Amino acid sequence: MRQNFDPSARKSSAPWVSGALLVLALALAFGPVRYENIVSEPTEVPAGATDTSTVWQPRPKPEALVGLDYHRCSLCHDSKRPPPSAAGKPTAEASKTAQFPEILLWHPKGRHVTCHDEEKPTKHAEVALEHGMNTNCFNCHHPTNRDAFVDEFGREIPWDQPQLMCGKCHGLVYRDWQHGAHGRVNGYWDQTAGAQTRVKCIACHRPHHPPFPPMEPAPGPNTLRTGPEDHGVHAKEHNPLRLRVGSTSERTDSTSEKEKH
Amino acid sequence: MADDPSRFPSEGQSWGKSPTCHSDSGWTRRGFLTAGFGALAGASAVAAALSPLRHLAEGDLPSWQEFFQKHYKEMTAEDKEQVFARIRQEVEKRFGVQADVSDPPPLTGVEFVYGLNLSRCIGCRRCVHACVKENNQSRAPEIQYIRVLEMEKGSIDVETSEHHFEPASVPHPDKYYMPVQCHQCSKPPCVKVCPVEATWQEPDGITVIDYDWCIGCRYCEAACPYWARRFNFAEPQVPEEQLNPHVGYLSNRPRRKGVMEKCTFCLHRTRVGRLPACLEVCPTGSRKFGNVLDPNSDVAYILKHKRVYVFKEDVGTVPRFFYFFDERGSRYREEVGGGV
Repeated sequence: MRQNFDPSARKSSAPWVSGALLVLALALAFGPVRYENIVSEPTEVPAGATDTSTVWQPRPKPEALVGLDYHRCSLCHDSKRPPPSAAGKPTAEASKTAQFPEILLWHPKGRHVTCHDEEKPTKHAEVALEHGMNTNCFNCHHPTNRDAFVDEFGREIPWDQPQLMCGKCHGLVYRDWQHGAHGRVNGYWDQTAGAQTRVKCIACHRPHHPPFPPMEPAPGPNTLRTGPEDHGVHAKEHNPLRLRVGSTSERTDSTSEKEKH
Repeated sequence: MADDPSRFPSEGQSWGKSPTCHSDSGWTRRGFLTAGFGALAGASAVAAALSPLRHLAEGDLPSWQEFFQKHYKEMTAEDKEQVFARIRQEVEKRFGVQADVSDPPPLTGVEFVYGLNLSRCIGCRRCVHACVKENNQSRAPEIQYIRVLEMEKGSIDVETSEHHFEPASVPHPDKYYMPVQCHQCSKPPCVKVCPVEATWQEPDGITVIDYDWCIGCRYCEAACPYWARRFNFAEPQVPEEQLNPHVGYLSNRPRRKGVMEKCTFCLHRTRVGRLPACLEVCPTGSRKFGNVLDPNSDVAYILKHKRVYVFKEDVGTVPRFFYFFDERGSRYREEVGGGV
């Protein structure tokens, strides 16, 4: 082979190779390939997504909204005897014997505020008690001292110790809460270094309807490898870095279909 | 020597020695032009190949001090002071913020563990964004240490999970949610594969990265069974007003393009006794953190008394992050009505 190699062919190709290289160099120097930035815009994160406050802010004092202002529960409920049984309608006799506060609450006609009209209660109408099988007010509220809760033996539980009252029924959760396995803890894990706040039941669970409230999720991932489907120039190409999106609804459909079958 | 036939067996193979270029009288016109043309083309090609350097932004190349910086473990206290001063300077240049650079040492007699209550997590992703805010991750391209998986109820198969769930409200009654982040393994495969020892396990159990030592080979990302490590593919962008100025050398100081990063259990917070950012923001209290060597800690109680699930236990990483359950979960199916 070597003997048959024609030196003149090699000789003439040299300028062509150089020329091609030069053209390529010029082309590259001017950058004909457009730079495409696949970095998307930062996602807007609502300010509430990093808020460390609790879901509910329990009232620090045993107060209820009456008219335009908050008043202590015992202001109205200063009776030394429990109100008529929830089973029967309040009788006219019971209404007479019930003691109403000397201080009149705000009312347009300046009348005494009553707890019941003929049929239904006029006060605390906003309370919708949906607490499972716990449907009686005095399971939790103290019958004669409305500024306190009641324990198993009819004794008072201070207003700021609701966990003692909840623990009457929710013993397992109460046990976990006591040991820090349930509930929110903020501040310092090392209590020699700083203060730790442990919130109580009613900071997350509303007593009249305790399930934890559903909430809107914060924005999902949009990272290079987890980002939503590409709708740009590469939309039609299979891109393993862009995983499928919106399959929550698909999967919900498929599970519901399975249930049908 | 040059004309030694054993060295140049074929005359045509050597352009320089061909009769066209070389004669007794020196350069021929054709030889000169060919060689010159070739040299010009070569030089142009080199220049073109180097032309991307035109797009180098300020700070793309490491500074002199950064380039010759020692490995974190070999630094003396003096070296560290110099490095922290450099970081302060760089942060101020990049973000216009006076950073407070700290490097809290691991506490003796402390081993951190993290527990997450799968019965309580509702998948609201508050932890994801609190983590990003605390740890100065890049907002674009987005880097997040925590990935919340929406799981099918009754299944622990992550293959059927989904992290792109966007319902109007969570939790979905048919799903449960499993946030995954760095498990701070006792036998970390990511540390084993690092070719330059830029990542290691600290005595308190936290696996850390020296961002100045990382070469960005991403072996650790491939080795991690939890996909807990993230790579800075592009220059990380953090808005100046959102930068957390309390930065730790091994945790949340601003990173550069081309380095790995990961969850460090917020070591700049936890090593001074505070709780991690993801825990503090969790509205449900699903997240539990503490010193497992302290028998009175929350996590010690959970490990002793609750049902515990270790994710991918079979891969033998012995994680310091675990999931646990309650006796009864939240009743998701109930609507939350009005009232007080």
